[in-house]
Amino acid sequence: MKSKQHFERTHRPYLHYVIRPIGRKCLPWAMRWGLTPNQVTLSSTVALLASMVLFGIGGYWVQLLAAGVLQVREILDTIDGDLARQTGRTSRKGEYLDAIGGYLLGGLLLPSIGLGLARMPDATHRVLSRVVQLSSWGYLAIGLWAGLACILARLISLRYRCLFGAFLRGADGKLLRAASCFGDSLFLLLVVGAATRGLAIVMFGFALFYTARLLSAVRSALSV
Amino acid sequence: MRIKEIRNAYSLRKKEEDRGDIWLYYVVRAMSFPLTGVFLRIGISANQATYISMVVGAAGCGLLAFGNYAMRIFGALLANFWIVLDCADGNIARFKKTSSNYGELIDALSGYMMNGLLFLSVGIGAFIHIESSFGVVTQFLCINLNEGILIILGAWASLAIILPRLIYHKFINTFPEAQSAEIKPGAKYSKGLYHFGYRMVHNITSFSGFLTPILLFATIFRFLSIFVFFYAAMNTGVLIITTGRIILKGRELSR
Repeated sequence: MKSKQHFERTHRPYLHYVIRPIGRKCLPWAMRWGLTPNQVTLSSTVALLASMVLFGIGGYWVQLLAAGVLQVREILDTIDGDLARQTGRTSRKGEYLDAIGGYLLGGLLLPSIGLGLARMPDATHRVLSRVVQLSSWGYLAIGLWAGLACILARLISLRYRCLFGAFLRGADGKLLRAASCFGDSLFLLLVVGAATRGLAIVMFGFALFYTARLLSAVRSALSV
Repeated sequence: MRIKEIRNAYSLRKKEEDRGDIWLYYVVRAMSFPLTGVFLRIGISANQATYISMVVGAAGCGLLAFGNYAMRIFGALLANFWIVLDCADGNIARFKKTSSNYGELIDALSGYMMNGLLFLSVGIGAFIHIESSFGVVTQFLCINLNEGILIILGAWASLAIILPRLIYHKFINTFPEAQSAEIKPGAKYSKGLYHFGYRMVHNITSFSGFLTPILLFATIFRFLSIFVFFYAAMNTGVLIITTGRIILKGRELSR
């Protein structure tokens, strides 16, 4: 538990310093209302789906709302685990449902942002158009690629874990820390991107990040 | 070394697993035995065969995406050859008794690569060389579509076929007692219409089924646009049904 906390503090600062403290404040309410951890997990999945639909609709205020709903999803995602530990209700089903939510997020969030940008390109579209000739529907293709790369990287890591019983580390030390911090900042950057009409840049950044993660996972798997 | 000896190393259990995949069982596996013989004669190991399959698969995807008509046909042939190589590496490992976790990992990697890239590549290829079949699809659907939809549907088809695999492997990792045979959507209904439907869909959508011969056929007769639309729809169905069944199975096991 301590090592998990230490990892979270050094590698996932946004989760550790922003999301988890809010989650801890909400935890007594969840207990008072008699919610089960799985109910909280399901609520977080519903919040995720709602956020994806909103991102897919597009438009400034709708995307800002979507980014806000995604923060709620993140808070709920921390509450379910804490609630399960506090009430002694940890279960394999809970762990599994939690993981499925994470996979849906990894695979479908960026495509839905791409869909929203394809329907209503934001301010950064003009900036990006000066660098690369890209039709607005290109954002959906980029979002789908980012989702695919993310899922493939996770699939390779999971298969490795099934076969060898250990985590596949694509990077070590400072590189791992930098990569984890950047991956963790997705939710914060989505809020910033939606607020400053710069979601296209954020999506580009994460498409490159997930591609790098996929290549790193393939390289690590081949050099076992 | 005789092909018969290689064939004998093909275990009954593996035979039973393959039997449902008609194309794999009757055509691909039969073609893989002579190829395995050649590989064994020139001293190629199972892992080296997997590396060759990765290169062949990647080249096939590249040609399908960016080649001209003749190159795309060659790319489709390479995709068909990839599945033969995918069987050959397993044959070598079983024959030489050199199966290992690493071999299994790179074999899986090769499969993920093909699943992840093939539909996307076909989508890109169909977009670069727009065929008359695209007009047929848009007329059939009665909607005016931009050609870029082909890349989008190709990428979606790839994502929709990969995501259930991730969910399935997480399921196996979380519930080790549930092995593949139990969770396959058709397993509970070993007979009847559902089983027939499952087998049919599996044979159409998977690499061990008719996917690669259909791809070759579609490339030769220039209906790759229909291929992309068809597999995007089929893979979406597979994603929804498989995910739903796995979640239900997880609920059942956790009781």
